[in-house]
Amino acid sequence: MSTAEILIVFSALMALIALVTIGIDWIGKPLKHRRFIPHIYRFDDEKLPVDEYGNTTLGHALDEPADVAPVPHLVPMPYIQPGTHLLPLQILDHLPSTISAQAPIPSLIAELANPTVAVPTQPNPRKIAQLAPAVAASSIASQSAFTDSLAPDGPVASLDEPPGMFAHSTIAGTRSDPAMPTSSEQAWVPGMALDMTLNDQKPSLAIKAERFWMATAEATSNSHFDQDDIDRMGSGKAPRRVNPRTGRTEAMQLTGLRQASDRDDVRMRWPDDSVDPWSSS
Amino acid sequence: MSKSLAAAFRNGNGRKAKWKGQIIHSLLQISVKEGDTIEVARLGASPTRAQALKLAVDKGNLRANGVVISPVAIWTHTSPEQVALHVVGRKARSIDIWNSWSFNGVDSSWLGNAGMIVQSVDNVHTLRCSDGLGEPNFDDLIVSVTVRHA
Repeated sequence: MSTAEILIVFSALMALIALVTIGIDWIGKPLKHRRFIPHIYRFDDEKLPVDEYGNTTLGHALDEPADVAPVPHLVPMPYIQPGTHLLPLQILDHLPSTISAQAPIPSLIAELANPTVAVPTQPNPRKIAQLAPAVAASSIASQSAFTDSLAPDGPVASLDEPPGMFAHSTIAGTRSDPAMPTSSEQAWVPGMALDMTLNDQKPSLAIKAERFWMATAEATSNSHFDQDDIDRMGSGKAPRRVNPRTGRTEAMQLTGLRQASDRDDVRMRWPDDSVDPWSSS
Repeated sequence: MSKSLAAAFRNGNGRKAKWKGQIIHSLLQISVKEGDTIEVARLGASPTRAQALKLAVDKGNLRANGVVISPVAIWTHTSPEQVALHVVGRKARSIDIWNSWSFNGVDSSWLGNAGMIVQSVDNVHTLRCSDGLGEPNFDDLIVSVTVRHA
């Protein structure tokens, strides 16, 4: 193969790659805008705090001093209700001479709207709690942990909650509220749904069977089951019988357990393949 | 409730137990061969719940109501009062007979105070059956089983 042919083949390959790249960029969503959300953030309250642009702010907020508010890159335009409102020039007249980055946005909006109409200002949906200094220090020290509570240095600007509340709003997974039941205290009791999720774990089929038998033991009265069988059901085990035909012990079986949520959705049956020849006649 | 018949069967050989001087059967086994006819006549049954007599050939089947199956369940609420079954299978040697009942929609046998008092005269066997619920009551199902050899 001559040099010219090699150059032609190389150019063709490069053109093909360029076309594929352009196609991906044109047809599909650009890869650089795709966001990777780790699966460890299973709950909303475990997500990292983000700013208006979707950037996580935990690291910046922890590093910033307490007396410096986050610097907005853009000035959000206030929403002015229809009706009596200011003209754009009037708005400019009422604008403060210098839009300070440190001026709180709600007060700026109120200042803009006060002369004519009261503009409802919505509270910040993402209320930022503040940590006690000691807790904040531990939060900063633990870079792998995360929390919705940002921890500025300096004096604590207390919110409505008493100071003791912050002792429990610490790094996720490191502290537990003593008022809340711990995972060991959460237990299924008869009367709950068979497929109830406890401790963030869906029950397996075996656990659902245990729950079914426990619920059945609670509901069983004046039945043909011996006390031994009732005790077995109370401990989550299936009742048994001795089959004199085979001499073997058989356990009761369940059907429909996989989709069942209620005890009535499950059918019990003994191993028996008998047929009633007159059932359809 | 005192010790149940099922517990008595478990303590014995599983098929017979003694209760108030009577021999109670959990299962009746009768010798049969291919071509024999089993006639079952229902003499009485409790209206409280559905009762059934079940029959199964050890190495063969039974022809009942035009179908060949085993075990056969003769339920009080579906079957006529008199039925005839035919033994099918060259290797058939015996037939097992036991009673069953329906409780809360569950077909059950050999539980609680279930058992049968059997009175046999020649080839005619009268079975007085008790279902497993409550105290033993051998009037829950009364049937007569007659074996006619081919």
